[in-house]
Amino acid sequence: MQALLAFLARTRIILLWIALQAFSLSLYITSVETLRHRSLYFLEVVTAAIHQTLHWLTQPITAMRLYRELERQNAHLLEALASYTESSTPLIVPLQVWGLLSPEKNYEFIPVHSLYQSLHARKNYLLIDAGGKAGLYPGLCVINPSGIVGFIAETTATYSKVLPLFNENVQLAVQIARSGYLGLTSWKDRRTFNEIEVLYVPLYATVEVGDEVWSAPQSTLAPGGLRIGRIARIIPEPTYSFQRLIVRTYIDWFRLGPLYVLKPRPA
Amino acid sequence: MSFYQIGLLFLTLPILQYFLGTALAIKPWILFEPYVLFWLVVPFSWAAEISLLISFTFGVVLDLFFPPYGTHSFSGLWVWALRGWWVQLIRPFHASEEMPHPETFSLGEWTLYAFPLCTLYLLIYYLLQAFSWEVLLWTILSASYSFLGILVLFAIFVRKKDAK
Repeated sequence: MQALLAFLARTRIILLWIALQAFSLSLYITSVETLRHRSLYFLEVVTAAIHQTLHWLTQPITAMRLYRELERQNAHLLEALASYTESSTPLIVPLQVWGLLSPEKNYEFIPVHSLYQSLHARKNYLLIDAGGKAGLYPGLCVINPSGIVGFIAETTATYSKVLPLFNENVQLAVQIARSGYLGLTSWKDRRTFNEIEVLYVPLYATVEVGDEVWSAPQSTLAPGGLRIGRIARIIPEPTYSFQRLIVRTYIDWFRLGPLYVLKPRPA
Repeated sequence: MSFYQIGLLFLTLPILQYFLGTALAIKPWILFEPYVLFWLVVPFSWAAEISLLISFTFGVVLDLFFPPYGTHSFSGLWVWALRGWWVQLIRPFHASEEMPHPETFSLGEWTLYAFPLCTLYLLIYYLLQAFSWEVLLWTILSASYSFLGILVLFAIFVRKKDAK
C-alpha cells in the first residue's frame, strides 16, 4: 500500500496530465456529432465484446455451479423419495441402484466426487472430495446411479477413502433377487474389474445366469435391496456344497459418474 | 515572468484572438493563432501541478470561446508537456540545474524554441479534426504565420530588455 502511494505521489504530474488530456479529448468527442455517434457505437461494440468474453469465460464456472446445485437438488429429491412410505403404487426411483425400495431407514444422499481411483492394485481404493466436515464417517455406503460402489474406510476432514467391491479385503452380504438366497462377495481370487464372485451360495439354490444380485438386508454395511449386478456364470463346487457365482457388476469402475454417500438419518 | 504578467496574458490573449485572430487569418486556409505564446512562457520555475492546471484552464477558456471544444486544451497540454524536453534539446550547453527563462531568450533561441512547438500545437489542433495532405500543408503555413504573431508579441511584451 505504501509502495502504491509512493508510486502515485511520484507520478502525480503524469497522472494529472493524462486525466486532463482524457477530459479534453472526451470534451472534443462529445462536442462533435459524428464523433459522438462513433464513440457511442464503439463503446457499445466494446461493451458487448467485453460482456461476451466474460460470459464465455464464466460459462464453465456458471455451468459447474448449476451442476452442483442440481446435484444437491437431486440428492434432496432422492432422499424425499426414498422416505416416501405411503404410496399405494410402485414408486419410480430415478436411481437404478434401488432394486427394492426399502423405506425402513431414511437415508441422506450426500453428493460427492471422485478425486482419485487406483486401477491396477489388489487393494483398490477411491478418494472422494468429502470427509468429516460433510458429516461422513467410516462404514457408509457409496453408490452411483447404477449400483453399489463401495464403503468408506477412512475419513479426514475434507476427503474420504472408499474401498470398492473390487478390493480383495471387501466382502459384502448379498442376496439373489429372485430367490432370496444369500451369499458373500469376494474379489480375492478374481481380479477382473467389473466382475466379482459371490461365494457360499448353497448348491441346491436355484440360480440362473442373468439373475440380479442385490445387497442383503442382513448386511451391516449397505442398505438392503441395492443392485450390484447380474450373474454371468455359475460354477458349482460340490466338494464344498456351495456354488460360486461370477457376477457382472452394474457399475463400471472406469466410468463411475456421479457418486452419492448414503448416510442413515438418526431415528 | 511574474504571476501578474502571466495573469495579464491569460486575459488578453483570448481577447486578442477574438478580435485579431479572425481579422488576420487568410481564410479559409491559413489561420492566425498567436495565443500559443501562453503555454510557451508559463514559467518553468513554478510547481508543475500549478503550471499544468493554469495551462489547462487557459486551454479550457479558449475552448469555451473557439469551438470545437477540447481541442485547445488537448493541444496546449502537449506543448506544455514537451516544452521542457525541447528547451533542453535546443540548449544542450546550458546548465541543466538552472531553470530556463523564456523571457531571456534571444530572438534566435526563441525561434528555435517556439516555432517547432507552435507547429506541433497546430498539427495536433488540426489533425485532430481532419487528416489530409492539404490540411498538413495549411497547418505548416498557419504555424509559420501564427509564429510571426507570437514572435512580435514576444519581442514587444515578453522579452526582457536586457536579454541577449
